[in-house]
Amino acid sequence: LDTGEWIRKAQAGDKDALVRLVMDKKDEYYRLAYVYLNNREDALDALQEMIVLLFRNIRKLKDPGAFYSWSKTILVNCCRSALRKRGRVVFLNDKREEAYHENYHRQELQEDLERYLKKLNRHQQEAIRLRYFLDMDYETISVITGTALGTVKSRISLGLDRLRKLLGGEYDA
Amino acid sequence: MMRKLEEILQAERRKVSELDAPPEMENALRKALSGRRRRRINKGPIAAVLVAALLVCYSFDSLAFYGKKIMGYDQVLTGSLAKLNEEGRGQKIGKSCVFSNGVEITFDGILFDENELAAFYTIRDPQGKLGNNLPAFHINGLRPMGYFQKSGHGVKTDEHNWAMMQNFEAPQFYEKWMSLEVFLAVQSSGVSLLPSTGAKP
Repeated sequence: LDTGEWIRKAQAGDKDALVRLVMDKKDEYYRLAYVYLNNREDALDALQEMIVLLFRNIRKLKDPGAFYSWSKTILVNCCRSALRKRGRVVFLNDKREEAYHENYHRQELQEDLERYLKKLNRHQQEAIRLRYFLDMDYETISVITGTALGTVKSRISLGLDRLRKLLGGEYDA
Repeated sequence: MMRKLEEILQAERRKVSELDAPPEMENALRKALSGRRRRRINKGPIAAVLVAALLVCYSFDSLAFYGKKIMGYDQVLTGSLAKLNEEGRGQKIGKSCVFSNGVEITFDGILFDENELAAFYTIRDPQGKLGNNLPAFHINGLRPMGYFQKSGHGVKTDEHNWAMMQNFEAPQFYEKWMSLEVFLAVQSSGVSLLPSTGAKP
């Protein structure tokens, strides 16, 4: 059976077909959720929420070829609402103020990246994560986040500039 | 500096690309779906109930009358009202009041179009005390002044009974509930007032 037929089955209410469709690209879905939520439990929760919404709404999907981008859009929305629920928790002890040296450890660099990403606005952060962590092209990002292509591009470039400045501030010191 | 940022992003990408879906993902998805039924909202019955509710609330009385005719008034009906009556476009009232002198006035129904409203009523005067007194009417509604009576006429069907028709100003489109007041001069005791309510759809 090809994807189109599984989609038709899923549209007829076949749960196994739907699970199969998602499991065919399980890593893609999981990574997408993980990039947003940064932990396994929350990612799985978002995926569960997503599949329930897919099940309820799959009949509205007119073009079966769009299943994957449609379902990822739904996953993105689930992740966004999970982030909203989680709220903005800022830990004060994350604010490291001490000077940094050249022999900066990679692990620390990455922690910094995460820390600085959080300083970008929500949209820039999202676009950069999708573009660089998931290697998505602009087009795909535009589709699954429901954002105009030009907006995606400018968010990424503004976000990168900001990141460079944030990082640069510390390295130059 | 540029290079540094790109390196970090690259490293992060590598990290993410090494992430695999956890083995429990499939079960988690199945669990989320188990017991779920697709909600099918059939809009047909909802629409039907709404329409029915509207009809019932808004014009129950005239629906009840629809198809019936105000019988017994053939002689007092004229012109377009007769046609309305033929079409069954009236509203049954069926309320009566008795005055202290024993005169009973019963409103059988009303008919109305955009020009006037006609109320059909019978007078029963068992003791023959009515004489030349005819009742006076006023309709109250949303319109501040209410609706004034216009001409009325009727026939005496026998010694004690009259079949009458009374015309009023046409009700405004916004009227939904109206009440009718009936005044009758009872001998020397002045005016007795008995409101009787009627509804217009």
